[in-house]
Amino acid sequence: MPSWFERLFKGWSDTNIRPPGARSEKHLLATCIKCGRCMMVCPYQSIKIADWGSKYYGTPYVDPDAMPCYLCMKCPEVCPTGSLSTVSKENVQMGRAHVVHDTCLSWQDDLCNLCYKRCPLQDKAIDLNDDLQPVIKNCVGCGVCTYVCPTQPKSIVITPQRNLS
Amino acid sequence: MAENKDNMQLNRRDFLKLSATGLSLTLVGFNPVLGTFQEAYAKNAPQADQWFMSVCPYCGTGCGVNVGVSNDTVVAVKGMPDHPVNKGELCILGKNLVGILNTPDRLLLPQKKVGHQFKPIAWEEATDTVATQLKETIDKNGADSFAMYVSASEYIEEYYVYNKFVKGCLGTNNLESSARLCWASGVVGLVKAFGSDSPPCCFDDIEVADLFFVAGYNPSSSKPIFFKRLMKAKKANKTKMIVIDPRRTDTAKKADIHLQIKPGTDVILFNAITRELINKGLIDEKEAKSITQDFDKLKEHVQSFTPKFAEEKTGISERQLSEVVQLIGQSKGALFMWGQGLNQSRIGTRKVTSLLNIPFITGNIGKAGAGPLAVTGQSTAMSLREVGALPNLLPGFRKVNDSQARQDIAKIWDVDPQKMSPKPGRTIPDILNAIEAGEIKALWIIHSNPAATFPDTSWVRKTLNKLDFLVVQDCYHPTETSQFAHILLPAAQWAEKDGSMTNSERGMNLIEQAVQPPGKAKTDIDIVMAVARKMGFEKQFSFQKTEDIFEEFKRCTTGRPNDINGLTYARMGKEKGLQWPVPTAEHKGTKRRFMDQKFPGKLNLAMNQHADPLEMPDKEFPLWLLTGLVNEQYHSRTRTSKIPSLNRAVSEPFVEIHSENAKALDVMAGDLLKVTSRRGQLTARAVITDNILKDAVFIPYHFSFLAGKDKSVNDLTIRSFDESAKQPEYKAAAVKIEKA
Repeated sequence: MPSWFERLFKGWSDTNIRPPGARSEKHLLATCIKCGRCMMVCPYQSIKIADWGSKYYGTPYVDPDAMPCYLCMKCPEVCPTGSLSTVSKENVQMGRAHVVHDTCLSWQDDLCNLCYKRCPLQDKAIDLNDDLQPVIKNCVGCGVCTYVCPTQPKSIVITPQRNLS
Repeated sequence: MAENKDNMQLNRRDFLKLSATGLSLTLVGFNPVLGTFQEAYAKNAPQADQWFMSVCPYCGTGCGVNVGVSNDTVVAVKGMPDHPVNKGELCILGKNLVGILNTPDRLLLPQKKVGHQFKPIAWEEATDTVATQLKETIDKNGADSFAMYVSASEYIEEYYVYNKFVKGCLGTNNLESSARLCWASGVVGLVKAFGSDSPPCCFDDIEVADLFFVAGYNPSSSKPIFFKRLMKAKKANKTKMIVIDPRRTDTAKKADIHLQIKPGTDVILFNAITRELINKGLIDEKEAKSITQDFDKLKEHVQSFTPKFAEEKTGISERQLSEVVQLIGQSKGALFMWGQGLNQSRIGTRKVTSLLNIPFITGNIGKAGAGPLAVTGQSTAMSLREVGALPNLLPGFRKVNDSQARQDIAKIWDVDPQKMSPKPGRTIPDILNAIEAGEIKALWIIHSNPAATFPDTSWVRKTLNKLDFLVVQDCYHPTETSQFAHILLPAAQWAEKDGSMTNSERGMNLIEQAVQPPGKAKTDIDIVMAVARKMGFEKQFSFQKTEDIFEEFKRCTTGRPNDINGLTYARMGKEKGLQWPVPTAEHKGTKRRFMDQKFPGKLNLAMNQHADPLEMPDKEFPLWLLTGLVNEQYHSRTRTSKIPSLNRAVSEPFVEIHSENAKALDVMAGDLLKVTSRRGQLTARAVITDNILKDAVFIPYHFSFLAGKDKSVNDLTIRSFDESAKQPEYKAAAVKIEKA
């Protein structure tokens, strides 16, 4: 979750993820012409534009805690430079979720599973094990799970693609 | 120049220092807060000064909860570790119970409609108005011109007071409950099959059974804790699971066999299974004949339901059918569970009785780990049946048209048996029809929301407007229904009142009052008794405390199936979830019924034919509309809409469509779709999935017109009702979809 300081003054948080179809951070920064079309076409208003004060000024991002990406895949279609390339939603690489077992209700004694129920790639990205606990499989990092997670702080968080080794 | 430069350097250094201090301060100021938060959460032990025992007010599983109170406010809710049902576990709805209590839209004062606006009035004036209006209506048009419609989440004592007031004192049987929308077909089916309403199984059977047969039921969404228990048992005992559902639900995904049936064709499938079981010699005919009636007739009846015929009608292949039949035939103890997929249908009772044929002929009854296990959708649907808060019942499963029963009850109630009506009262579809015809003039709605939950809501709203006098007693305002009221009465809700309740496995639980109701709100018992006393029934309603009502109800159960004379509030406080009958103080409760194979009569087998829903998909409206629920919301959302963390996940309706339909319409996930039926329309975002049949769409039913324009799925559903139970057919309406 970005801190209020990051939101207010930095215009950028390290937890931000790039819109679906971005190949790599380097490629996006090299090719994005900051036209904002992806932001305008997004039906959920998930895509935002990095604010002044950050070196990423003008580039698009998704803050999964504010509004995640629902993988409708409309933004790559309008991208004029190929910064966002058209891929199927299973092949998107925005990041990867991981479950914090210490606070996750299903991994503790209760039962929640909202992350699994609302995942746009249910069964492929998140699955339930035999004890009905969420496990991450081929996650694309859209962030819906983080958004719907009812615990505070979130028990499922996205690591952006650029930070994945 | 040099001086100047020095100054500049100093300034810059100062600036850097300042920024560094600022940054570190923000970090220091922020992180410890986050840290303590994390710790508190990880410990998962909310602190409170005092803890009270209660039961979660949502579904019929009946999980025990402890309610934590500090400074007269509920601050925490946690699962009760020593409760036999949930053993401390809670689902996401139960976890968020604190949020339903002190919301900004709590109704705090009695209000009266003047013109188009509600004006606060005093309690005295409110109860006076209700009493005089009811008296006037009844004197002028007869007692049957009044009806009361209550929710299925109230306590035994409350149902008892309503029953005594309406049936004993006012002399009409028009006391209806919202269980009609939820489990009416299931209960009528059980009564038809067993000869009496008596769920035989208990949750402990889950660990004993070796097969779960689940039809039209998605406990993964509707009863998560119950589902978790099923899954635990499945893992530990390798229990097989068969799921029958037109959608590949989360329950179906965990099944060994999923039969993706065409909507509404369950009777054909069950008859075909019955035929194969008999013809393949997988049952003990001699034993079946000894406990059931008309076995030979059933054998003859099902012969026309060949696997080939079944495949044609239900879409389930002969191979799958024979696998299912083998599993049932081999099983030593099978639990049969069903839900609204069977109940909410025009032939719901037929579907349920056809399903019950299978356990009866296979001998899956009267032994541990076998039989029908019905978990109701609302918390106290079992209690209201025991107390008889339905139009045809009196306390202790007595019938209103039985004159001996009326005399027995009149004696306990201290009323004139001649005044009690022998005619069964009206069901909610009948009540609304009677309002339209002008036969019912006054209606009293308690904690229920028919303007959102009844099918074809635009008609319901018109009908409610025709009432001369509508009292709405609720804890929230506005709700969809409260806007039509003439008088609004503020009521206490869960945790603000005490009482007792029964869960779906007949387990009795005590509920303690944790806090006082907010504002001028009063408990339902106090409100109804105040009106009753003003109408001249002081003698009948001289109860001092809730326990007195329970003690009087106990007298009604003597010698009845639900005999609870061995229970007191004190005993229920100590021994949680004791299952009736508990006739004496030494009795340890009855986990399973009919273990001696002695049934009220011989078990009735049903010879049912299939019938199509009232409205079938056609050229103009080519798709089936299936409605159902999601984990994060409960019924018409009067409670769950107040909890932000739940509304984040699903805060508006969605339309689940098959990916091929989406392709044909050129629809992508998240596009707005317009769904139209002959009665209304709905606009919602598309969710594209392969888990649903191609000729069906799924829309959750939680949302009504308070959620926004064209958001109510019940504007689309049809006013078609089960032939004997009068339960609405929510799961069959013809619709078309187009891009909005």
